[in-house]
Amino acid sequence: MSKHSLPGQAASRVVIVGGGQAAAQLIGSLRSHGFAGHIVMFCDEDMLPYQRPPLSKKFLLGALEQDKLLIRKPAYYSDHEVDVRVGCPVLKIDSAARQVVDANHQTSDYDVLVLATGGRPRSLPMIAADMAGVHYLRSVNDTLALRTQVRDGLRVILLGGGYIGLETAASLRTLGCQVQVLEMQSRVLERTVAPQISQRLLEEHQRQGSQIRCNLGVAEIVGDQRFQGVVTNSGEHIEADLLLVGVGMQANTALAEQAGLECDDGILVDALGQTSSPDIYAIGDVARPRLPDGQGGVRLESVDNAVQSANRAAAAIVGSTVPAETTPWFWSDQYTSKLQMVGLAPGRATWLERVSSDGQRLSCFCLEDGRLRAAQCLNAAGDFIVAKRLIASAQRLDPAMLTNPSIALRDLVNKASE
Amino acid sequence: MKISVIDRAGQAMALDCDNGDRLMDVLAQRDLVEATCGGECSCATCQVYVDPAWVSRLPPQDELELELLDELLNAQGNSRLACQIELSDELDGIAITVAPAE
Repeated sequence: MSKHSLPGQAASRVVIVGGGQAAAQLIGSLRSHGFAGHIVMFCDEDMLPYQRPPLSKKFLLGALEQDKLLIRKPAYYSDHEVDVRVGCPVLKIDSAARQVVDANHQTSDYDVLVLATGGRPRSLPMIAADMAGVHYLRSVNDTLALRTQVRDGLRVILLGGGYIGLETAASLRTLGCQVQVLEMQSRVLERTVAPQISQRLLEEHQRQGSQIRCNLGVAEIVGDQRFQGVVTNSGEHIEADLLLVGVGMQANTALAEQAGLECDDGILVDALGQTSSPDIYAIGDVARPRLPDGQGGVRLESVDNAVQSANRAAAAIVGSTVPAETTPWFWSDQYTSKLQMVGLAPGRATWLERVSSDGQRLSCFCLEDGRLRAAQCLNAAGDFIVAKRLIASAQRLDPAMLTNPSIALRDLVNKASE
Repeated sequence: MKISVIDRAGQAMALDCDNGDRLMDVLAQRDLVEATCGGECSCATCQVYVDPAWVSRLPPQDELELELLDELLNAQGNSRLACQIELSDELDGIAITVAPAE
């Protein structure tokens, strides 16, 4: 039984604003729970929900066709009676009347509203919005626009050594571009990965012929109508043909703010995804957990979070048992390097290192009170699978055994605790 | 073409699919596996057991798939990751069982 309507009556109309991974998952999860009510999904983009991770990798490389990006085939939505409105943004939420107003000025009633509005690439004030040669990477159209510019020898500056910057750098280098990554921090992926992993990835990019320059920011963008280069904060002029801005994502909270929902770099939600208004949920990249003290916690931007948050919200909406929160995990592929991460480590964490005898595989572990809190595995996929279990079992671990590559990681799993 | 699938709840079904579809996509689009990573051999949530009669008709696992399967608690001799299996006319009628979640 749902808590959103009269006793004995489940919510019958769910409206979803947003058409990304979280929205697609919510629909599947609702229908898998047997939800038989009306579902409407509004997508800003003119495309059914698709996978974003390949946009900087296989899709940019031309190794994956556009229709293979779709999370579900078009027939799924008609087969499951989902009213899909692609290319139709929602302009306004009227929470008192429980209605949304879309770009065609039509209103749709809801019992439960789910905001899955995601985010948009962050920009910098010094970058003119309409300058040719300046690119971002978030949508299929962004990748398609970038692909039309790519040619052998194209000089590209990637602003930001985060996941988007590094993955795109790897793909563009593979396509023959000359690549420079400029990163303000002292190392790439500074905010999220162990220093040892940053170093390995840096070396991989350098081996492939890219320049990665840390501790370097941009003071000025050169060019009038068209991008011509940058002046760094150390006064150096760098000429280039194309700028890719990868300095993070901004949560799309405008609709939620206008509806009076509590927001703070994301829409604040409880463990079920419920916002400050009981019949409005938020899931995926835009949702930020509200901590017990009312402050915002870590807002996750990941496929895993989109999926898990959608599953929890769907269970709550239909009144089913809500699945327990799982340890977040992430991945990144750059050239042939495969990075898999599970758990969130505190800033400036101390990392233990496990290196295979041939030096190829590196796993970094962050312990808290002797228990595994986070693991980051580079070209060590097996370690990643076992690390997930070691975190779930919350067992105490001996650092000496954890870092000894001659002891199989799986032998450390305490069978009794599984 | 069709494939025979037994889902995690033990329910048998015949699913329509096309030559060139990845087995993982066929299952994930119907919410039968999580397939969080979208087929990058990263999450290992698309494990299936292949009917013994069909095992030898599949291309062998690569190193990465073997490494992941090696660590999965539910893995058996006939385990595969569905993201690594591309369906073709030769696999018309293949029978698989979705492995329990880890």
